[in-house]
Amino acid sequence: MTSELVIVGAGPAGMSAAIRAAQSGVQVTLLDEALLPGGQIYRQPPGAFRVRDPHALGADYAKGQALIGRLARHHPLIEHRPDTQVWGVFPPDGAEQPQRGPDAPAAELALLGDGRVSRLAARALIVAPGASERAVPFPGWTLPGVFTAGGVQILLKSQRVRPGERFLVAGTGPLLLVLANQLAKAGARVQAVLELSSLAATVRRQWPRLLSEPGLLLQGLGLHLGLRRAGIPYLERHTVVAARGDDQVREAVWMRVDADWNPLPGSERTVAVDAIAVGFGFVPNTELTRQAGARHRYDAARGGWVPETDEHLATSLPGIFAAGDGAGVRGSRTAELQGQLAAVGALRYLGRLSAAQAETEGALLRRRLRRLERFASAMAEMSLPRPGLARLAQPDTIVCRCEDVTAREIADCIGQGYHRLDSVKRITRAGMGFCQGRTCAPHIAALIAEKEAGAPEAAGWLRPRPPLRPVPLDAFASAEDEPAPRPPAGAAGR
Amino acid sequence: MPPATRLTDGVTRGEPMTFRFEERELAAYPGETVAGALLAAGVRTFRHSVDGQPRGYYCGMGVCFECRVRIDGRANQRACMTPVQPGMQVQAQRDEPRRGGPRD
Repeated sequence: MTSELVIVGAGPAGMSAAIRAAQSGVQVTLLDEALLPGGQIYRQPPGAFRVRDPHALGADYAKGQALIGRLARHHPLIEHRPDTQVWGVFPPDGAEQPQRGPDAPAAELALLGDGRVSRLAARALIVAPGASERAVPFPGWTLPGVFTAGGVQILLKSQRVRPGERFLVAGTGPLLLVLANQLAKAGARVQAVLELSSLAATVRRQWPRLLSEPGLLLQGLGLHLGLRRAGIPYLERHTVVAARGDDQVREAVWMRVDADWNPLPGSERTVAVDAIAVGFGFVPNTELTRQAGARHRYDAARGGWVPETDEHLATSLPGIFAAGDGAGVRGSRTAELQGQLAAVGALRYLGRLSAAQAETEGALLRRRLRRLERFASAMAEMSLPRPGLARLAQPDTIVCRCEDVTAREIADCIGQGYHRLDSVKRITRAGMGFCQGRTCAPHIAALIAEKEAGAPEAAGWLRPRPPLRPVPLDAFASAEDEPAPRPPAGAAGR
Repeated sequence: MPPATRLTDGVTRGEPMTFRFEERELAAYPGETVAGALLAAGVRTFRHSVDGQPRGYYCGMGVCFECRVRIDGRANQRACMTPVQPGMQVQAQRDEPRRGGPRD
């Protein structure tokens, strides 16, 4: 089966790309792993819940509803396929290089949905897979009850479950403030919010950029006032250094840190908690663009490796575009505009928009994106990982959660002269488990960089191989009538 | 047992159902994920790692695979991505222990 335009990811970037393409009369296939559109930021309560009071669900619920409503209005042209995983991107017909030109498919995707494997060719492809939270190992971080900030938000926003009572919220960035307010509203006791950076220092350096968005500054002020009203201490230049407990977290230890985020000896403080929410920023999901063979560059301020893109967000591969946090972390407002920009690029590529029309519309979108970039880049600078972050792990701390590989094993391996992520994976098994290194790779890259006094990009990346997600063998057996993509050697074997 | 709870403001849930986790019968509501229902019931440990350590819900968005459980006999299902069904049999997983070197 061939689709004119395939979009991977139904978050703000993917949804707005689909809407813009449908406005030009293009049939769109919108693939998403979740059951409902929205992505993580606009994650909706399940369909079986009746929303009685939208205000109780927060601002993101309303924004998500607006975008999802527009998606539904274009429904005849947009085929939304939920609960569908993309586990491979292949050059069409096994060719080494995609054929140029919009009449040939830009890529062929291998899908898993409804327990079956299928294939889908795309004349043009927009990759909008979003970002994942940066995992930062520290002693005790694998204990049940230590959650990512985003994971707790999903429980509150979508499941309406509060997974504990006494929380510590730690990490860096505005998400911590949002979450602490949500937790307080949900009746949790938040012991403190620990921010690694200093807002005052950021304001001193970045005030002209921050002033470019008075609305967002006010929002931030509102969040701080919310903490004060709820009696939640907000401690800058502090972070969590340990979680303790038997079978789950019972205590958290925090410390002051210096400007490089190194904990300051003698500043330990222990508090009783039953949950810790950690948010250390985001890393773009680039498995699909990397596996497709697009050129990438390392951009620490955008979360790490990002696909190289041109003024219409086209990657280095013909007909393949990238938008949203998966193309560099900048948040939902940027993602929404980038989705439109990538759609304009794809429409031009498919011959559905003239070069002149695409140029006019693109220039307008780029101007709005540049305006957002001023504020977003100032906030990104505040949360840019600093050297102390990778040093929170102690020798016994698990780094690779899938295979239980410790910081000591990783350090020994690096010490023996292995300075590429792929080599460390082969020697230690870190990155070889179910998550395929999505969790531990950025941390190991930071360790290699520290040891080598180099930049994290020197460590390379774990080569994403199909299947990008585990595919059960019986899903191949019940593949659709068309021949399924060949399972690569060792596909689901473990 | 941590005092986790279902929030009642904002939404109305459907008729409750029951499912099984290990030997316990637990309540759940239509639309909840297995992870949501387990956490609301105070269950924190979903599986044990290759070194036998307790693990549970972490990223909540299908990336980390830490919450994987056995559902109706099928191993490695992500509890955070799987909607709970009436009568579902959910079991904690224990991964195969590591044997010294690479397991290839």
